[in-house]
Amino acid sequence: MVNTIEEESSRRATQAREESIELPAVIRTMPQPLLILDGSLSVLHANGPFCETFKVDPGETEGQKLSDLGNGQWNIPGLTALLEDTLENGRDLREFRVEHEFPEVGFRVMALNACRLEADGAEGRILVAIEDITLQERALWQLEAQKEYAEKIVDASRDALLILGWDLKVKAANETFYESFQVDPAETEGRMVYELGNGQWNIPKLRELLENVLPENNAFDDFEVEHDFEDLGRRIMVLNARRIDHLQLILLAIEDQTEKRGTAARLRMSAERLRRAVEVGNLGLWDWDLRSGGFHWSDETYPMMGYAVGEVEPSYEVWAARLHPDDRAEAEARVRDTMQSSGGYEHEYRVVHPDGSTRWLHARGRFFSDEAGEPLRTLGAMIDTTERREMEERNKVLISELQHRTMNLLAVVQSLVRKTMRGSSDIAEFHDRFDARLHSLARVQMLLSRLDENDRVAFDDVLDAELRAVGARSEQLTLDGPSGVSLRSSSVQTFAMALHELATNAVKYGALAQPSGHLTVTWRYEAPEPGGEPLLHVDWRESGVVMPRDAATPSGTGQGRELIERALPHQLNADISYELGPDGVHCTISMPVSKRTARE
Amino acid sequence: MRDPVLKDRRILVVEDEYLIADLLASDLADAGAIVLGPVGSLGDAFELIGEGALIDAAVLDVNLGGELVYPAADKLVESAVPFVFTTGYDPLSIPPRFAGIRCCEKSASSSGVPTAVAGAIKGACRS
Repeated sequence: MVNTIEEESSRRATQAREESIELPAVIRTMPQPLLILDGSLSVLHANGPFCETFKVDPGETEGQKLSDLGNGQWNIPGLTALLEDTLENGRDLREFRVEHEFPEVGFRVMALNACRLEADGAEGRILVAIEDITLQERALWQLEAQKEYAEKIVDASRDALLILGWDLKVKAANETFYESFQVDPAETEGRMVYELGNGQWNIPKLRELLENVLPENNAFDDFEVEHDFEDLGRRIMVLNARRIDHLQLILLAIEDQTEKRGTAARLRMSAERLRRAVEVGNLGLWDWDLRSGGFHWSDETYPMMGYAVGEVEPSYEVWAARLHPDDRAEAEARVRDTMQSSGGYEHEYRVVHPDGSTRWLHARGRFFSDEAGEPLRTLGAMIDTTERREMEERNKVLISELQHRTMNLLAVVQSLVRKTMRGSSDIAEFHDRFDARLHSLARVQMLLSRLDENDRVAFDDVLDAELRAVGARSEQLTLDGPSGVSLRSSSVQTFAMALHELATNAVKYGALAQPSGHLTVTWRYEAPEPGGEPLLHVDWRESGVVMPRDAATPSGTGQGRELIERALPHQLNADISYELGPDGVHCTISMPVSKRTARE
Repeated sequence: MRDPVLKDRRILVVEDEYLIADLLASDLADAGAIVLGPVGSLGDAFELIGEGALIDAAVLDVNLGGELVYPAADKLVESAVPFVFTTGYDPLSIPPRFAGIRCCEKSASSSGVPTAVAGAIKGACRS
């Protein structure tokens, strides 16, 4: 009986419990895991979602203490205290976070909410709602990570980046943007893009891109914009934009290419300058990579070596093939020696062009080697020195000619001294006459020195110089003949001195010494016979001269006459007549002259 | 400045510049020589040499108004006539075949050329 009474008592208790946990429909239909705990914090009821979420049977859960559930995983001291507080004081538990690694379901994050049930027959019980926030937290974390990731990309970008809302107001900008365009975040964020930098970004092209191109295309790529910024000057920018529709954002990347373009332009200019210098200086450049065998010639090198530009692939052999046979051994040896010593190279050698012409080339170069002394490369430049050498040759001839003339001139002076001394009765007379002769010599040197290589001194120039030197007055002179009859250079000096003697005598004793005297000089040019030489005929006639009664030759005139009668035939192959007429000297000179005319 | 070696020797003077020729001629005459010429061109020089005129020695200016005197010099060598050159050029420009020939600078002292000619005559006698 006792047993029966006891069994009955137990059955009733269970029944009572089952009745007492009869739950309202609203709780039963909740999709959220729920527990109802009794006053001892033992589980009275675990709903379906709870059992599903934590993969447990209602049977093994109900009747257990919360702290014993799931191998004590719920045994959280803080939680127990809080629930007891809820139980005793009716204080609700809000969003209590619990993390746990479940053997069956893995890592979970849960938010617990609990409150004391106040309904009749439910006093002293607690409803615990368990919210699985694992996915939520993970999504949030991932979002954070994504956000950080995006921000880092934006910040790390070397392009200036602007993040705009669809209203074209700046949400954010990266460091590069602030640095490149010298603005700070305060005056940037929240502003319309066009207002940035006091409206400096109000660029029509940018407006067009943002307002028309982007909405239709979702993106634009590599739009080049050139703009003059007040503070920064002219900038060349390449713009790329993406519309981020989910976030209603626009990502605008601005690449400042000003520097790059500048560098490229400077590089181009530098190369251009070098090319022009090489061209203008007519420099033949070579660059020979000894390891790869790569050989480069500038366009100027080819013609120097007797090739058309690009006609051959430059190489050592192509170079050596043009060397003059007499210079080949030396030129090749110089290259070999310098290659071994890896130093500077300078050599002048001849090359023979296909047309047989010989050119002189002056080459300067340098060999470069690696640490082991192995030659790596040689480069250098050469110039054509043929003309310079020809000029040097001409100069040598000229210098030698000058030396010859100087020695001759000194000998002439020596002779003049001797002659004048013999013809002078005292030192005063010697002085006067020698001085005059020396001046005449100087005048003709002056005429000769003014000439270019192919010029000739004209007869009338010499005549004019000599008459002027003795102070002849024009009213006593009649000069008639063609101007510009060229004298042979070798005859000018002697001829001028002969004229000097005639003029001096006329001034001292003849036509120009007396008021009644008159000097008529006429000359004509006789064109050469075939195979012959052109001739100049000069007629020097003095008139109105009162001749000395004894008709003796005045002292001093003898030497002048000798010079005329002997020097001109000797040196100029001239025919001379010289006579003292009743009223003055009459002298005729016929001599070969230059085939060239002085003035053409 | 008489020189016994030059006395009555017949010396050909070839020099285009009259005043220098005159100077040489008077120097040689002063030394006692008989001057042939002076002549100023190669053609005139050949004329005198070719005439078989007796020439004991000669003074040859290397450059005669642009022509070189060497053909005449060769002729004299052939005829064993001693001679000297005068030149205003570098003596090194004279061809090596005339290496043994004395070369006088223009504008030498008055006795320079006669002494050189005398030396040439003596040298010719010895050889």
